[in-house]
Amino acid sequence: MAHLRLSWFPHASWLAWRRRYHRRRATPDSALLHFLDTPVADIDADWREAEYLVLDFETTGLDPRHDRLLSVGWVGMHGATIDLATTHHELINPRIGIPEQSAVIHGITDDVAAAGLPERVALEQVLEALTGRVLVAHNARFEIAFLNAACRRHFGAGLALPVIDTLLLARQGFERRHLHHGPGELRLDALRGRYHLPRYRAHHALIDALATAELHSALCQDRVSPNGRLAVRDLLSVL
Amino acid sequence: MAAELWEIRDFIAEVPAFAKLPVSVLEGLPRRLTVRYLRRGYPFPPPDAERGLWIVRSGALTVREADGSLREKLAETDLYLDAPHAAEPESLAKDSAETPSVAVVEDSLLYQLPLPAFEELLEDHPVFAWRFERSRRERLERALKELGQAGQGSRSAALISASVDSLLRRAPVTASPDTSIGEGARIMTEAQVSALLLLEDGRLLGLVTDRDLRRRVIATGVPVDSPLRSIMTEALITVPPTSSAFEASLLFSRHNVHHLPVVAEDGALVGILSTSDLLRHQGSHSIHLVRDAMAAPDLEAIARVGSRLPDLEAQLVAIGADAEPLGEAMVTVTDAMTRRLTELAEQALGPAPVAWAWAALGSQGRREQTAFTDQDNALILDEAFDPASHGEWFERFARFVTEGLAAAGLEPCPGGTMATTPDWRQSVAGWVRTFRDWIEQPEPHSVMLTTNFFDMRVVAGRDSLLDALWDTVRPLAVSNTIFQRRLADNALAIRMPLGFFRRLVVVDDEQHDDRLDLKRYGLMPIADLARLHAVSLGLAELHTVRRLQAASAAGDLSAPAAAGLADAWRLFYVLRARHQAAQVRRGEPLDNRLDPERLSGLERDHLRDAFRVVDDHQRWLRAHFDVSGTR
Repeated sequence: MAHLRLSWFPHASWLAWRRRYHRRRATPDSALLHFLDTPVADIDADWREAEYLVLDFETTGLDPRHDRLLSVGWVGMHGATIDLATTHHELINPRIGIPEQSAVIHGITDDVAAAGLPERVALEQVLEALTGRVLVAHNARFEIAFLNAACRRHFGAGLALPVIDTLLLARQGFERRHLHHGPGELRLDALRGRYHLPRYRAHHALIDALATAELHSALCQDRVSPNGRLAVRDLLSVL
Repeated sequence: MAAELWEIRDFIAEVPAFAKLPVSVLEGLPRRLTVRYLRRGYPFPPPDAERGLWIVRSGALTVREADGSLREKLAETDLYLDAPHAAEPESLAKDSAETPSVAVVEDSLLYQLPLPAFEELLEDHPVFAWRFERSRRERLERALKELGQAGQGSRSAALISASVDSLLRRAPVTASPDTSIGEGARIMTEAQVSALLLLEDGRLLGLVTDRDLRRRVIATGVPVDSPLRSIMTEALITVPPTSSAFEASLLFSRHNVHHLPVVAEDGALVGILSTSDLLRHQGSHSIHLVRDAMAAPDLEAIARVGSRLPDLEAQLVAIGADAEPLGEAMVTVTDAMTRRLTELAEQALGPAPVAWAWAALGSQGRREQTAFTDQDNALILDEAFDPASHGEWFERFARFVTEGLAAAGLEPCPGGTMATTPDWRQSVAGWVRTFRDWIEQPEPHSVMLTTNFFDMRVVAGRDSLLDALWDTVRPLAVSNTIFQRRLADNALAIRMPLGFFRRLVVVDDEQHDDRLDLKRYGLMPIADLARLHAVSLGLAELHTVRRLQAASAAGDLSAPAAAGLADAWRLFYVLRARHQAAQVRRGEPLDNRLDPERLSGLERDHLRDAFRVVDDHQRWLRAHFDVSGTR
């Protein structure tokens, strides 16, 4: 049930129901409430006409309840075109110590993070950027869990929006072809290699977001011919 | 913000067209780009894309002309301009005005600079606009300048940049030609000079040197009260004060003189330059080699000079020598070795039975040789030549000289185009018959031979023998259009490469080479074109650049076309010399085959321009001579 994606799934009504649920609990006059009051992206649009925000977080650890955001990077896509003018990267002050095992991965030290934005301000920026867009992330469960936890901390409720998980799209691709795949083959860089995308330095929120955006385009083209139609709803994950 | 996009900025900085933009502009550039991933077979340009400049980040695309022929293959860092600017202003080929078709042949990641941002860069940054708005010829001209400057980092740079007047140490010591020899000798002794310049009405008339006093006065017993006029050297070789010390060093070597009067354009005497003035400067390597060659007592000494030719080439490359002076230096040394070998041969074999002229063919004949060259030569003999009685002497003479040259590192010609072959050892009348046969009954083999023999130049012996030959042969070729067509067939036989694809040279759809043969795909086709023009017009010029200039002056070829071909030739020549200089440093045997991996992105761009300049001219000639081109 964790990775539900079924063609008959009523995404629109499920999204609407969850947004109503969160709206009742959200702090009045907050960025979250404004986000939930604004209509979601059109999920019946073809994948080449949708507006995406491809997002990546670096965090102090893997537990959304106790760990905090350290940095956020995103890039917008108009259909298949990745627009680098929309790129954004921000360090976030976690107000907790950064464990060494995470610092060695993302290279963000306490001193560097201390100069970052307060989490609430960064979160408001993310919500504004996400407004009216489809969120794309690799292993989106992780980004959504941290987003929800942060929204609950600051605005009293979670959020709901259309989400595409490139890791799930890739897994479906393997399964459709009846190909065996190990967990390592679903990693961002391994999948990029499969589609002949260049190698980038990993674990930088913006570069990972860009890497995910390119992979998203590759995965969509894997699913449908240049002239065929592929609705956004057929790409969505239910998380 | 832009700092986070260093992945893209670093890549863009490697794209030659962007490389010269200021760092501040490069920093801001990534945010102006869009990114598209296109799977193999995806339509290009994508129907939903804007127009603009596409940059290949990874993958591959092929660009084809409207008729389906391959125009270029694009890979990492290559560009495709989908914009109104895309039509190349100077292109002669009609079909290039039509939109080419592009296919995505590998999964590709592309960046695009949208049209408005592209036009802004064109507007604000001439260094960027240069790549897109200037003609290939202008780009080549600039590339050559930069290549020359790049080489001048070394200490010897002064020799190239120093002008002759900066080397002059004192005002010239002069006298009237009517001064007596004795008085002249006193003036020279007091001023401590070895040469006295003779002026009449303020104009330079002649020169008297220490050596003249020795050879023309003391040795012959001319009375010392005779005027200097009677022993002076007239028809002097002079040098303008603005020419480079390097050019002067070549004059010394070529004419085997020790003093060069420096004379301004208006005829005013500026001073006198001696070889010792130059020797105080570094880099006068070719003078040393020429001296060693001229004084060589035996074959071993000649061989030692020859073994230093690659070093000379490497040194000249290091100081950023241009193509023509570089070739000139190589030829001057080779000529000196050849001349000395003929002297040694005559010493060994006794005097020649009839007058002879030793001619160099091919690149040495054209004065554009490098350190890596075969020997091509021939003997032109006096009418009195009788094979039965004189044949043996000349055979031994030819063998002596060619073996000496071979020992000096000039490999014997694999095709046997050497004076040791009896066919290439003939009297003037014999040569005229041979040329007449070639010109009047041209067949593929003889046309190939004529390409070599039309570059003949006398290196030693009697010049007039070759002059007599040309007087008859040149008019034959000028009036024979069938022969000219055969020459054109030959000149147009080699198609220029389209460009580069990753580490390969793309010749056409099928042929991708891992080395660029700069002779086959550069110097030779241009030399062939220049010869075709020269022979058709009956021009005496031998050097490819001079032939092109003369053909242009005669109206056979437009000035921009001649300049473009000349610059393309220079680029190929300099890149070959650099390649060989690098081989000298690495201790490798010399060749003409350049590894595309060793080329910078900019050099690839320049070479592509050079290929296209030659290709355009070939197309034009093909139409002119109605030669059908098959690729």
